[in-house]
Amino acid sequence: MNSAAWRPPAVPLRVEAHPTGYRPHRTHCVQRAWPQANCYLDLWIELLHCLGHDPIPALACTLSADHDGVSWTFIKPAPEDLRRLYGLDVAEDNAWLPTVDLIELGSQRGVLHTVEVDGWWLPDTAGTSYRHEHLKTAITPTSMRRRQRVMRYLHNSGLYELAGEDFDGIFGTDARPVTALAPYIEVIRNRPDLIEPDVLSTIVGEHLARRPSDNPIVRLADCVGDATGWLADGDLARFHRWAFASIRQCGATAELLADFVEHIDGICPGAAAAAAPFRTVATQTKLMQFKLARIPTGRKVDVTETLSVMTESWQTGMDIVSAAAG
Amino acid sequence: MRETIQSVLADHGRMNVDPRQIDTEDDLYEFGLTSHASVNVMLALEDEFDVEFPDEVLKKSTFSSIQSIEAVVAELIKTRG
Repeated sequence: MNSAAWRPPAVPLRVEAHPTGYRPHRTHCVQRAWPQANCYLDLWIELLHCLGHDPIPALACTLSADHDGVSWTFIKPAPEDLRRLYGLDVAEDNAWLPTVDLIELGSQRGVLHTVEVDGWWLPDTAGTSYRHEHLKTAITPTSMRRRQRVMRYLHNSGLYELAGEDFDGIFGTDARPVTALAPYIEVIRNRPDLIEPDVLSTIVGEHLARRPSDNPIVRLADCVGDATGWLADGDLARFHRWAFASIRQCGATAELLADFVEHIDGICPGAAAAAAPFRTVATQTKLMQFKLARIPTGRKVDVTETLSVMTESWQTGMDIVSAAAG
Repeated sequence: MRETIQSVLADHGRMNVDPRQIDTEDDLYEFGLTSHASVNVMLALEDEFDVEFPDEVLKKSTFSSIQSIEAVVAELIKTRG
């Protein structure tokens, strides 16, 4: 490939970390109620961590989370937040080349990618999706040795390496016929010139302005009430898909919100007091998930009290952080 | 009881190790026990031992080790009489 006209950024974006001995960010500690939120947010937490940034400011997106009656917000850092906080410009890549070529050229371009892949080929998911279940998930490749068919990648809460048949499977580079469309790929460019110093208080205000005017836990409660009807059909697999979209996203949002409000206490004095009620929401969602899972097995379940505690705690937390932000 | 718990974990825990090959105090979440799998483990334990975990033990730490599960289930069986 002729690369003579390409101008990589002055500071190329590179992850130097090694899978051996890699220490995930503290928000991914297994002792937390919800050590993982969703693949995309978890990926960004680790990517920022690897790049030497504090990922907590990127969690401002949790302030505007909502439940729309069907699902909780799939929480993701807003591109404009990543650009202003860290100088990272994120956009869909122009995927005119095969995915493996785009990823390989990333180091030459001085960029990183997020790319959707099939979890079937990710060895870090041994015991869950690896060679067991076809599952869409997002990774960031951090280095590739194409001739040796080896790639390091960030996924969920860690940094890993895959090789051989898994390399072929991820990129469709073996002899198998390609039956799927090309994946969605984002390119991440290093643009430190776009960093806006002291922008976090502005971002807090923007997310608070976008937050629902009422309490999203009330809509989650309605959704739970509806689910207690169809969950009785006995489909445990459907319960888990629903629980991921509603209960887990709510619980993880609340737990990460607790970290975020503690972080902004310096610029929004008093905000840290909201951490305790948000952590209550996180632990109560855990309890609710365990209890609701009994419904598909034919048992009656009452989560009224749990939802009441969650609703009150969320409101308390939001009132505190809103007042602290002025 | 321990063998039954290990068997439940082997069938439903979807961890990256054989639960019969680890120490009873080892952290199961470190071995890949997910939120999803812990729910299935809870349901299977209730079936196997004919117990119902009360709200106060329906928390992550209850399912964090074989030792912890064993202690909670033993107490539930004792209370049941």
